[in-house]
Amino acid sequence: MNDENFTQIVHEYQKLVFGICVKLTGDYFAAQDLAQETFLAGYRSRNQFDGENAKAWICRIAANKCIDYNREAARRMVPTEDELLESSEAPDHSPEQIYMEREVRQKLDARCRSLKEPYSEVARMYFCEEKKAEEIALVKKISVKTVQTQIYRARDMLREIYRKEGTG
Amino acid sequence: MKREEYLSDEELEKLIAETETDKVFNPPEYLEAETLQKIGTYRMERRIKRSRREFSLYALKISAAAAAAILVIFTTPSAERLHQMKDSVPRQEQQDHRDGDGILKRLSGSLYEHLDSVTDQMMQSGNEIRFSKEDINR
Repeated sequence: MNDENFTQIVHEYQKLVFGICVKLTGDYFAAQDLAQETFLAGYRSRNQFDGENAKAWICRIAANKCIDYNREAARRMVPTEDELLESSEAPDHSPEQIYMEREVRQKLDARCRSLKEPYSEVARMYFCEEKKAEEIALVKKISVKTVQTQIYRARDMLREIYRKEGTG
Repeated sequence: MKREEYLSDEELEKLIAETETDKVFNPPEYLEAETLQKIGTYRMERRIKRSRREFSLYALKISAAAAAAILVIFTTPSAERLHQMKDSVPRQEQQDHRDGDGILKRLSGSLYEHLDSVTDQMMQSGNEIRFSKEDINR
Protein backbone atom coordinates (compact mmCIF):
# COMPACT_ATOMS: atom_id res chain seq x y z
CA MET A 1 0.00 0.00 0.00
CA ASN A 2 1.51 3.32 -1.01
CA ASP A 3 1.28 6.60 0.92
CA GLU A 4 -1.45 7.99 -1.29
CA ASN A 5 -3.70 4.99 -0.67
CA PHE A 6 -3.14 5.28 3.04
CA THR A 7 -3.98 8.99 3.03
CA GLN A 8 -7.24 8.04 1.35
CA ILE A 9 -7.94 5.52 4.12
CA VAL A 10 -7.35 8.22 6.75
CA HIS A 11 -9.75 10.55 4.97
CA GLU A 12 -12.41 7.91 4.44
CA TYR A 13 -12.43 6.26 7.86
CA GLN A 14 -11.40 8.95 10.33
CA LYS A 15 -15.03 9.59 11.31
CA LEU A 16 -15.75 5.89 11.83
CA VAL A 17 -12.52 5.28 13.76
CA PHE A 18 -13.13 8.32 15.96
CA GLY A 19 -16.70 7.19 16.60
CA ILE A 20 -15.52 3.73 17.63
CA CYS A 21 -12.94 5.24 19.98
CA VAL A 22 -15.57 7.48 21.63
CA LYS A 23 -17.98 4.56 21.95
CA LEU A 24 -15.42 2.29 23.54
CA THR A 25 -13.68 4.78 25.84
CA GLY A 26 -16.38 7.36 26.61
CA ASP A 27 -13.62 9.98 26.60
CA TYR A 28 -13.78 12.56 23.81
CA PHE A 29 -10.14 13.61 24.00
CA ALA A 30 -8.70 10.18 24.61
CA ALA A 31 -10.65 9.15 21.51
CA GLN A 32 -8.80 11.78 19.46
CA ASP A 33 -5.41 10.47 20.60
CA LEU A 34 -6.46 6.88 20.07
CA ALA A 35 -7.76 7.62 16.58
CA GLN A 36 -4.40 9.18 15.66
CA GLU A 37 -2.52 6.24 17.19
CA THR A 38 -4.74 3.88 15.22
CA PHE A 39 -3.80 5.43 11.90
CA LEU A 40 -0.14 5.62 12.85
CA ALA A 41 -0.14 1.93 13.81
CA GLY A 42 -1.96 1.18 10.56
CA TYR A 43 0.69 3.07 8.59
CA ARG A 44 3.49 1.13 10.29
CA SER A 45 1.88 -2.20 9.47
CA ARG A 46 0.44 -1.28 6.07
CA ASN A 47 2.70 -3.75 4.25
CA GLN A 48 1.19 -6.61 6.24
CA PHE A 49 -2.33 -5.65 5.16
CA ASP A 50 -3.66 -8.02 2.51
CA GLY A 51 -5.81 -5.33 0.84
CA GLU A 52 -9.06 -7.22 1.43
CA ASN A 53 -11.19 -5.14 3.78
CA ALA A 54 -9.61 -1.83 4.77
CA LYS A 55 -12.57 -0.80 6.94
CA ALA A 56 -12.48 -3.92 9.09
CA TRP A 57 -8.67 -3.79 9.29
CA ILE A 58 -8.44 -0.21 10.53
CA CYS A 59 -11.43 -0.64 12.88
CA ARG A 60 -9.85 -3.76 14.35
CA ILE A 61 -6.72 -1.73 15.18
CA ALA A 62 -8.88 1.02 16.71
CA ALA A 63 -10.91 -1.40 18.83
CA ASN A 64 -7.80 -3.16 20.14
CA LYS A 65 -6.16 0.13 21.03
CA CYS A 66 -9.29 1.24 22.91
CA ILE A 67 -9.47 -2.03 24.82
CA ASP A 68 -5.80 -1.69 25.78
CA TYR A 69 -6.42 1.90 26.83
CA ASN A 70 -9.41 0.94 29.00
CA ARG A 71 -7.44 -1.82 30.60
CA GLU A 72 -4.59 0.56 31.45
CA ALA A 73 -7.04 3.11 32.87
CA ALA A 74 -8.81 0.40 34.86
CA ARG A 75 -5.49 -0.80 36.28
CA ARG A 76 -4.80 2.72 37.56
CA MET A 77 -8.25 3.10 39.08
CA VAL A 78 -8.61 -0.35 40.78
CA PRO A 79 -12.19 -0.95 39.59
CA THR A 80 -14.84 -3.04 41.33
CA GLU A 81 -15.84 -6.46 40.04
CA ASP A 82 -19.06 -5.07 38.49
CA GLU A 83 -17.15 -2.44 36.54
CA LEU A 84 -14.78 -5.09 35.23
CA LEU A 85 -17.71 -7.21 34.03
CA GLU A 86 -19.25 -4.19 32.31
CA SER A 87 -16.05 -3.23 30.53
CA SER A 88 -15.49 -6.72 29.18
CA GLU A 89 -18.94 -6.96 27.60
CA ALA A 90 -19.26 -6.17 23.94
CA PRO A 91 -20.89 -2.82 23.16
CA ASP A 92 -24.57 -3.05 22.23
CA HIS A 93 -27.56 -0.89 21.42
CA SER A 94 -28.91 -1.20 24.93
CA PRO A 95 -30.39 1.70 26.90
CA GLU A 96 -27.17 1.68 28.92
CA GLN A 97 -25.15 2.32 25.81
CA ILE A 98 -27.43 5.14 24.67
CA TYR A 99 -27.28 6.60 28.18
CA MET A 100 -23.49 6.39 28.16
CA GLU A 101 -23.26 8.28 24.87
CA ARG A 102 -25.55 10.99 26.20
CA GLU A 103 -23.46 11.12 29.35
CA VAL A 104 -20.30 11.63 27.30
CA ARG A 105 -21.89 14.61 25.57
CA GLN A 106 -23.15 16.07 28.85
CA LYS A 107 -19.77 15.62 30.49
CA LEU A 108 -18.05 17.32 27.55
CA ASP A 109 -20.53 20.19 27.69
CA ALA A 110 -20.02 20.61 31.45
CA ARG A 111 -16.22 20.62 31.09
CA CYS A 112 -16.41 23.18 28.29
CA ARG A 113 -18.55 25.44 30.47
CA SER A 114 -16.05 25.13 33.30
CA LEU A 115 -13.34 26.85 31.23
CA LYS A 116 -12.78 30.57 31.54
CA GLU A 117 -13.87 32.90 28.77
CA PRO A 118 -13.31 33.19 25.85
CA TYR A 119 -12.35 29.51 25.74
CA SER A 120 -15.59 28.29 27.28
CA GLU A 121 -17.82 29.65 24.52
CA VAL A 122 -15.45 28.65 21.72
CA ALA A 123 -15.07 25.13 23.18
CA ARG A 124 -18.84 24.65 23.46
CA MET A 125 -19.43 25.86 19.92
CA TYR A 126 -16.62 23.75 18.48
CA PHE A 127 -16.71 20.48 20.44
CA CYS A 128 -20.35 20.31 21.52
CA GLU A 129 -22.21 22.09 18.75
CA GLU A 130 -19.63 20.92 16.14
CA LYS A 131 -19.42 24.29 14.41
CA LYS A 132 -16.47 24.98 12.13
CA ALA A 133 -13.82 27.55 13.04
CA GLU A 134 -15.01 29.85 10.22
CA GLU A 135 -18.59 29.80 11.53
CA ILE A 136 -17.43 30.61 15.06
CA ALA A 137 -15.31 33.47 13.72
CA LEU A 138 -18.38 34.91 11.93
CA VAL A 139 -20.57 34.65 15.04
CA LYS A 140 -18.00 36.15 17.40
CA LYS A 141 -16.73 38.65 14.82
CA ILE A 142 -13.08 37.74 15.30
CA SER A 143 -10.48 36.32 12.92
CA VAL A 144 -10.35 32.63 12.06
CA LYS A 145 -6.74 32.47 13.30
CA THR A 146 -7.80 33.74 16.71
CA VAL A 147 -10.58 31.16 16.85
CA GLN A 148 -8.17 28.37 15.90
CA THR A 149 -5.72 29.45 18.61
CA GLN A 150 -8.52 29.49 21.17
CA ILE A 151 -9.68 26.05 20.03
CA TYR A 152 -6.21 24.55 20.50
CA ARG A 153 -5.81 26.14 23.91
CA ALA A 154 -9.28 25.00 24.98
CA ARG A 155 -8.44 21.51 23.77
CA ASP A 156 -5.25 21.43 25.86
CA MET A 157 -7.12 22.66 28.93
CA LEU A 158 -9.87 20.08 28.46
CA ARG A 159 -7.33 17.31 27.97
CA GLU A 160 -5.72 18.26 31.26
CA ILE A 161 -9.12 18.24 33.02
CA TYR A 162 -9.95 14.81 31.60
CA ARG A 163 -6.50 13.49 32.46
CA LYS A 164 -6.79 14.65 36.09
CA GLU A 165 -10.24 13.11 36.36
CA GLY A 166 -8.94 9.87 34.92
CA THR A 167 -6.06 9.55 37.39
CA GLY A 168 -7.80 11.19 40.36
CA MET B 1 -2.91 -9.17 26.67
CA LYS B 2 -4.85 -12.34 25.77
CA ARG B 3 -6.38 -12.56 22.31
CA GLU B 4 -9.81 -13.58 23.67
CA GLU B 5 -10.10 -10.21 25.47
CA TYR B 6 -10.30 -8.43 22.14
CA LEU B 7 -13.51 -8.30 20.11
CA SER B 8 -14.42 -11.24 17.91
CA ASP B 9 -15.06 -10.66 14.20
CA GLU B 10 -18.83 -10.65 14.74
CA GLU B 11 -18.60 -8.20 17.63
CA LEU B 12 -16.38 -5.93 15.57
CA GLU B 13 -18.80 -5.97 12.64
CA LYS B 14 -21.66 -5.15 14.99
CA LEU B 15 -19.68 -2.28 16.51
CA ILE B 16 -18.86 -0.91 13.05
CA ALA B 17 -22.51 -1.11 11.96
CA GLU B 18 -23.72 0.60 15.14
CA THR B 19 -21.15 3.36 14.90
CA GLU B 20 -22.04 4.03 11.28
CA THR B 21 -25.75 4.29 11.99
CA ASP B 22 -25.51 6.17 15.30
CA LYS B 23 -24.84 9.84 15.16
CA VAL B 24 -22.33 9.70 17.98
CA PHE B 25 -19.64 12.30 17.46
CA ASN B 26 -17.94 13.94 14.53
CA PRO B 27 -14.19 14.24 14.80
CA PRO B 28 -12.80 17.77 15.18
CA GLU B 29 -11.62 19.44 11.98
CA TYR B 30 -7.96 19.34 12.90
CA LEU B 31 -7.86 15.57 13.50
CA GLU B 32 -7.13 14.50 9.93
CA ALA B 33 -4.43 17.14 9.39
CA GLU B 34 -2.72 16.29 12.68
CA THR B 35 -2.85 12.57 11.91
CA LEU B 36 -1.24 13.06 8.49
CA GLN B 37 1.37 15.33 10.05
CA LYS B 38 2.30 12.64 12.59
CA ILE B 39 2.61 10.08 9.81
CA GLY B 40 4.85 12.49 7.89
CA THR B 41 7.06 12.97 10.95
CA TYR B 42 7.33 9.22 11.44
CA ARG B 43 8.34 8.78 7.79
CA MET B 44 11.02 11.46 8.12
CA GLU B 45 12.43 9.90 11.30
CA ARG B 46 12.71 6.54 9.55
CA ARG B 47 14.63 8.13 6.68
CA ILE B 48 17.05 9.76 9.10
CA LYS B 49 17.63 6.47 10.92
CA ARG B 50 18.31 4.72 7.62
CA SER B 51 20.76 7.45 6.54
CA ARG B 52 22.58 7.23 9.86
CA ARG B 53 22.93 3.46 9.49
CA GLU B 54 24.39 3.87 6.01
CA PHE B 55 26.70 6.60 7.26
CA SER B 56 28.01 4.35 10.05
CA LEU B 57 28.66 1.59 7.54
CA TYR B 58 30.63 3.92 5.27
CA ALA B 59 32.60 5.24 8.24
CA LEU B 60 33.49 1.66 9.10
CA LYS B 61 34.63 0.99 5.54
CA ILE B 62 36.79 4.12 5.54
CA SER B 63 38.36 3.14 8.84
CA ALA B 64 39.17 -0.28 7.42
CA ALA B 65 40.60 1.27 4.24
CA ALA B 66 42.70 3.73 6.28
CA ALA B 67 43.99 0.91 8.46
CA ALA B 68 44.91 -1.08 5.36
CA ALA B 69 46.65 1.97 3.87
CA ILE B 70 48.67 2.49 7.04
CA LEU B 71 49.62 -1.18 7.00
CA VAL B 72 50.79 -0.91 3.39
CA ILE B 73 52.85 2.20 4.18
CA PHE B 74 54.66 0.49 7.03
CA THR B 75 55.23 -2.86 5.34
CA THR B 76 56.46 -1.66 1.92
CA PRO B 77 60.16 -0.59 1.65
CA SER B 78 61.06 3.13 1.36
CA ALA B 79 62.13 4.70 -2.01
CA GLU B 80 65.74 5.11 -0.91
CA ARG B 81 66.02 1.51 0.13
CA LEU B 82 64.48 0.46 -3.16
CA HIS B 83 67.14 2.37 -5.09
CA GLN B 84 69.90 0.76 -3.04
CA MET B 85 68.45 -2.63 -3.70
CA LYS B 86 68.19 -1.85 -7.41
CA ASP B 87 71.92 -0.94 -7.67
CA SER B 88 73.09 -4.07 -5.91
CA VAL B 89 70.82 -6.51 -7.67
CA PRO B 90 71.42 -8.21 -11.07
CA ARG B 91 69.31 -7.22 -14.13
CA GLN B 92 66.77 -10.00 -13.86
CA GLU B 93 66.11 -9.17 -10.27
CA GLN B 94 65.85 -5.47 -11.17
CA GLN B 95 63.17 -6.40 -13.66
CA ASP B 96 61.39 -8.29 -10.93
CA HIS B 97 61.59 -5.23 -8.66
CA ARG B 98 60.16 -2.99 -11.39
CA ASP B 99 57.23 -5.35 -11.68
CA GLY B 100 56.89 -5.09 -7.91
CA ASP B 101 56.92 -1.29 -8.18
CA GLY B 102 54.22 -1.54 -10.82
CA ILE B 103 52.12 -3.78 -8.62
CA LEU B 104 52.64 -1.42 -5.71
CA LYS B 105 51.64 1.55 -7.83
CA ARG B 106 48.55 -0.23 -9.05
CA LEU B 107 47.66 -1.25 -5.49
CA SER B 108 48.12 2.31 -4.18
CA GLY B 109 46.22 3.71 -7.14
CA SER B 110 43.22 1.45 -6.63
CA LEU B 111 43.32 2.10 -2.88
CA TYR B 112 43.32 5.81 -3.56
CA GLU B 113 40.39 5.48 -5.98
CA HIS B 114 38.47 3.41 -3.44
CA LEU B 115 39.12 5.92 -0.64
CA ASP B 116 38.04 8.71 -2.97
CA SER B 117 34.70 7.07 -3.82
CA VAL B 118 34.04 6.19 -0.17
CA THR B 119 34.65 9.78 0.99
CA ASP B 120 32.32 11.01 -1.76
CA GLN B 121 29.59 8.70 -0.51
CA MET B 122 30.22 9.83 3.07
CA MET B 123 29.78 13.45 2.05
CA GLN B 124 26.56 12.59 0.26
CA SER B 125 25.12 10.75 3.29
CA GLY B 126 26.14 13.59 5.58
CA ASN B 127 24.36 16.08 3.35
CA GLU B 128 21.23 13.89 3.27
CA ILE B 129 21.13 13.77 7.07
CA ARG B 130 21.67 17.52 7.38
CA PHE B 131 18.99 18.42 4.85
CA SER B 132 16.55 15.90 6.38
CA LYS B 133 17.04 17.55 9.80
CA GLU B 134 16.37 20.95 8.28
CA ASP B 135 13.15 19.61 6.73
CA ILE B 136 11.91 18.42 10.16
CA ASN B 137 12.77 21.69 11.90
CA ARG B 138 11.03 23.75 9.21
